[in-house]
Amino acid sequence: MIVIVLPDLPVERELLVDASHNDPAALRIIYEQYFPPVYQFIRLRINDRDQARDLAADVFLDFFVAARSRRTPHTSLRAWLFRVARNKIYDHYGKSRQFPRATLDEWIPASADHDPEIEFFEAYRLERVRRAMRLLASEQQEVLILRFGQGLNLKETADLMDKSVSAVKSLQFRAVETLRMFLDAGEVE
Amino acid sequence: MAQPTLIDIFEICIGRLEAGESIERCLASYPTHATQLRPMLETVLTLKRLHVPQTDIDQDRILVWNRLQTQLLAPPKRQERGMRMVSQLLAAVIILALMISASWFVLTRPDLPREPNLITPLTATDTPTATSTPTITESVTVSPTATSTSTATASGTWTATSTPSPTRTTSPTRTMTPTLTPSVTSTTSPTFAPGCGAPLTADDASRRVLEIYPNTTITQVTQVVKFGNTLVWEVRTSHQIVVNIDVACGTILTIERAETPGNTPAGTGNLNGNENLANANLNENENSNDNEDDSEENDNEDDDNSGSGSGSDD
Repeated sequence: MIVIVLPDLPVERELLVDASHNDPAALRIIYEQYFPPVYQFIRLRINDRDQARDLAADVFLDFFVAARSRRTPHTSLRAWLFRVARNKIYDHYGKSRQFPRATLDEWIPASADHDPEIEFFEAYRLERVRRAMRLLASEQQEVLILRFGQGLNLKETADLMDKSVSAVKSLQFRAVETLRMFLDAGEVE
Repeated sequence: MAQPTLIDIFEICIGRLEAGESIERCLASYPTHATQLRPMLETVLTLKRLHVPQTDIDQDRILVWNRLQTQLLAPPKRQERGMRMVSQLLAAVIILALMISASWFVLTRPDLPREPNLITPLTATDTPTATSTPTITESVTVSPTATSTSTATASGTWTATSTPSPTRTTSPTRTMTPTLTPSVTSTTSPTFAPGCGAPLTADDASRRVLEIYPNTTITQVTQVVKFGNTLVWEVRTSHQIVVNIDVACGTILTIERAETPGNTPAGTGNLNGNENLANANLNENENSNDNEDDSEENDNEDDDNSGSGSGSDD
């Protein structure tokens, strides 16, 4: 099961204040807290692991520079980091936004069960889902990753994708519906 | 109240799943949509189980942190930035010093020409009596027999300032005045006391007298030294009035009655025993013949007489 760390906002504000004063401890805490979701988001969109690592480093480099110049976000640090990461991903692929269909190869099931048989069937089921997701449009893949892979709420996802909340609701509904259709139709066997 | 759409119900169930409820419990609240929503909610739960390998995350987290440390947080970077700031400041100071020294050198070069119209103040400023040593004086001489257009005007006013008289000639002599400038060392141009402006010309002096006595005529204008080494325009009028005007400041010093009426012969301007610097003998001739032939400038001021006097007597 994915565990998304949802920071307590007052603590996040305190951390941001300390980070703006170039407090190494605060910077380290923020990094440890947000690197996993940011890295996963990038990794699930970028095919190459080294490139994903470079982009994640660029995201946090931008954050540290912003923190030093007192340009850190005042509302949601997580949304700020994901927006920077998303921009870097689009810069990486260019404006054509032609994401490779193989980006989900790294997406593996979380190991919740230790029974080999259960793990086998679970892996098979998730592999079908992974293949089905390759068939989705880039925007539909993104909304599923943000909403269910990274645990962003509707508002955060809408801000990140420059869409309204209702548009994100419709988009995620159509994405899940289409994904289910691919799975039922056996196109991913 | 409007019924929630299927999209809204799907979102509601997602929220309830995240809160820990089961799919069946959520679908029980919406039995009419259960058939369609069940497979979608199962897919959502499957999506939530997808993950990037934790080992990859841990390894890359450490690598990226170390890279950030070297790029941003390392102390040598600060020193380097500090040194860069110091070097930039030093370069700015050097450039500024070069600019100042270059400006100083240009401004203090002795071979550069001085400002041409500078008026250098005298050492003695109370009485502006000093003049330059090589005084270049313009001697305007009008022969008594010569007739000028200025005197031929009906109004009888003398207008020699704006346009020179036809017979007005500039004497080629440049006379030195050693007796007038015992204490002045300037050698380029006449110097006057500060605040007085340009020196008064003979025409200016005459005009000033005519402003006071508009019904008279100027018979003689002579530059003399009076009143304790003061350079003065001595203006004599036809009404036997002598007006002494300070050359430097244009101040009317005295107005006095001439001792010998009618004493206006040309070339007799030695007053007070001083040497004449300039003689401006303007002889008014009431019966002017508009003699303009000798004038180089031929400025005929009186257009009304152009037809009557075009034939010169000379």
